[in-house]
Amino acid sequence: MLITDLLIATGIPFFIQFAVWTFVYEGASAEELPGYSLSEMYLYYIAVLALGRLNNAYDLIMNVSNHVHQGQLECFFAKPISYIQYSFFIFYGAALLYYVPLLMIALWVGLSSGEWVGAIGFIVFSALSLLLCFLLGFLMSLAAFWLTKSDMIISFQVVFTSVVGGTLLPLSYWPETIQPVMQYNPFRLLISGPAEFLLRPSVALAQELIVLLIIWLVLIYGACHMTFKLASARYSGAGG
Amino acid sequence: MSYVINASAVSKDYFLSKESDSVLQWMRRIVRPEYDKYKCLDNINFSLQAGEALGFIGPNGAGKSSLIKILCGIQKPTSGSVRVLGYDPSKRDKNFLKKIGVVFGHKTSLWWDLPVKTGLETYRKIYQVSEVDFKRRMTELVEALNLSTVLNKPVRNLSLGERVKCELALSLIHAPELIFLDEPTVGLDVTSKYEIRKYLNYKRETDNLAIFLTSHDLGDIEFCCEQAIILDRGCIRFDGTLKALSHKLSHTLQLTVTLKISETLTSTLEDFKQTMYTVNAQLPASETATQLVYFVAHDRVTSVRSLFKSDHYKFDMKEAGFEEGVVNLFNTWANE
Repeated sequence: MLITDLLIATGIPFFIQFAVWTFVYEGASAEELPGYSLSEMYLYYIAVLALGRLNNAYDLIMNVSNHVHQGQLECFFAKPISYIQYSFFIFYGAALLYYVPLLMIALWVGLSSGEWVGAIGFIVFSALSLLLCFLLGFLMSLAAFWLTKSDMIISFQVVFTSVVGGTLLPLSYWPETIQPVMQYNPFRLLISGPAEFLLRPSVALAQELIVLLIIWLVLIYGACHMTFKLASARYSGAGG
Repeated sequence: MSYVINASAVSKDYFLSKESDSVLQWMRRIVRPEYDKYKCLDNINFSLQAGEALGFIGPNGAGKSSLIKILCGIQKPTSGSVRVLGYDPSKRDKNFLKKIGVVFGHKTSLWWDLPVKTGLETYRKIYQVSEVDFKRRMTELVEALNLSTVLNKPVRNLSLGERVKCELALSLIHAPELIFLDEPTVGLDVTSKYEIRKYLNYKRETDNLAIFLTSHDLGDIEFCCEQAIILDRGCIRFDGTLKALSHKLSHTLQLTVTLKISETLTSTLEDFKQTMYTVNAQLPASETATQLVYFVAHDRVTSVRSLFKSDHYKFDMKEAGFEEGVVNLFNTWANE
């Protein structure tokens, strides 16, 4: 699993990005394309791909979907367990391993540049992004109460993370007209937000990310709570 | 008198999406869904006291599992009132959930990849059981259910019987006042069944444990319960002691009609079947090409006898057993 995730799912996309951006920068007339030098672009993609592995709600969505469709939710409902809390700790436990690469990136950046603000901020924002990722994933997974298959939910999660989260392109590369969407959507906080802070730490960016995190955490937690209440009230289990 | 369960006029309706006949109708129903109402439980009334064991019998789809889900708070009834241990189960109060145990014979609450011991230890913390109590109860459960060899195995490696016994252990580890068992012995061998039944009776005697049991294995009900309710298509058909049920069923005879010359007279057997249906409104409980089996009340035997053509088939009659009597009841109701 670790080999598949780190070498194949993370390593191959990184080498593709590495090749693409080397080619782009070699052909560019300016030394810096919108705001980033080539070495910063490499670092951005290293960080973004590590964050993409950390903030991955695939298993969470599959688990909730299986519990709902196979009637396993009954076992939780009949016990003094909060299903949201239970799912959170399962998700958090599974994600801890993927936090190690982030620590290594932060350590490397801190040691090589002697600048620790970005590295520490990166670690802190990554940890907070995990909480947001859980809530977003859990909210999306609740669609399983209405949908038969969870594939569509997973596809949405992957597309949002890749496109509006900033896995494909840094925020500053998008056209002006859609910049507000790219800047204020919750998926940015999972992927490009911590990476941007690692590259260009500033008080303004820290404030922006903190405020956005608080707003989205509150909104999505409320939405999770309400949707779960609604969904569990209409839950009829599976079979006899 | 304090009741552990008090269900009054409980009804449960399910709403199933209507099937669409055309694409246009299907698209219209995406915007404005239409449903067919299916009555799963209708006006269910019963109560259970501490230390009592109540068995629910019924064919598939009778509503037994839905009733269990309502009683332990997984579902809400459409109408009626339910009080379990003084709580409204649908509120899923943590104090209420700590006082009940639930075993679904076909589902598992233990973690698939973890050893049984780790799973039980995790539930100890969830139910906030002290280590001393946990150790004492575990010793008792391991001995009574013969679990010593399975504690260190991952749940995925257990046999069905071992897994169900572990589920029972998990549901009793916090010393609940009431346990719900939904088909707990489905697919188990006789030894496992015996161990489970024996231990449940022991807990009733020693800890005043109340038991709510549904099972298709009437042996479970006979062994553990003195009260029984028969549920058919969401309605209570019988509510009383097991003794009264046995008495009711003892008035039933099993009639076996066998063709004397099998190959030439199969139409004769079909004729008998038709006549039996016309006169007695009764279908056979089982049938082969040369044999029909009926369950008939004692007082109807004379009228049934008059239908026989002794040249063509022979006729055997014996008292029906408890299980056969119940099967006959189900068949009779199914034809109503």
